[in-house]
Amino acid sequence: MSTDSADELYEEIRSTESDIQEIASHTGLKRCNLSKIKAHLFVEEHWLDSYESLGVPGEWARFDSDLRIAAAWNRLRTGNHGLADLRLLRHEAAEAWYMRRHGPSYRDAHEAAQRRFPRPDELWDQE
Amino acid sequence: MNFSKNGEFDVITRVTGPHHHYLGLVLRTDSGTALAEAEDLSPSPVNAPVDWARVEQLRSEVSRGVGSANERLGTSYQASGIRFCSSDPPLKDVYRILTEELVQHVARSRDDNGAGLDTDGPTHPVHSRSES
Repeated sequence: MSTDSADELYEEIRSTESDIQEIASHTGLKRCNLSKIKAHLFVEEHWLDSYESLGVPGEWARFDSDLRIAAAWNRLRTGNHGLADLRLLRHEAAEAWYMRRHGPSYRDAHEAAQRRFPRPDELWDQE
Repeated sequence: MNFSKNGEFDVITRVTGPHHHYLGLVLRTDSGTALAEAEDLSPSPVNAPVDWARVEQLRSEVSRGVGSANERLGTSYQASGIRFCSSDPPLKDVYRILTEELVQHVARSRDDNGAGLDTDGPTHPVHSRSES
């Protein structure tokens, strides 16, 4: 779970344009929705405020990179994905929708998304 | 990753979208510092049972992370205080990696501030950020 290699994979994903069409063709999801998910996960900055109550000030920043998320995105591109990969997309789509509708707080958006579309923790349980 | 300082604790937070994690450590270079008990900062119901297996896993990962960072950096840090949030998801190895990143950040900061001396630092939160 090296953060350096995850950063490199995220840079590759950000610089790729064909992934949206590839994932759309393998999943049947609309390209416009996939574009919003990609922007939310890999490109846009969010108001990261999860730990304000513990003295960590909120800040605008991109999400930190994660090897398992990059791997899921690449499985979706090649059509080798599973249900957990699709559930990750659904969780992130819900988070992004909440932010557009209710404001930029990651804490609020994540909690709302988690209640309705829980993240697929099994993606991180695999060796 | 976000780095901040809160009293004697150096703090790292990581937010990936589906997950977020908080880890605070008191890092000292005194020889013979015992690995600290872990303090849970999560708001939790009174009398909520302590997940001792999780706490031991956390302490083990912090210990391995400090050891690994020391080996790589040629330093001799030890963690004499640990803070975490039990409401954060218990992903395998996440605290080892956060520990390594935090030790590296602290080592560089202390080098910048002069000869790797341990200081208590500011009592108000100060924060900075690095990629990932």
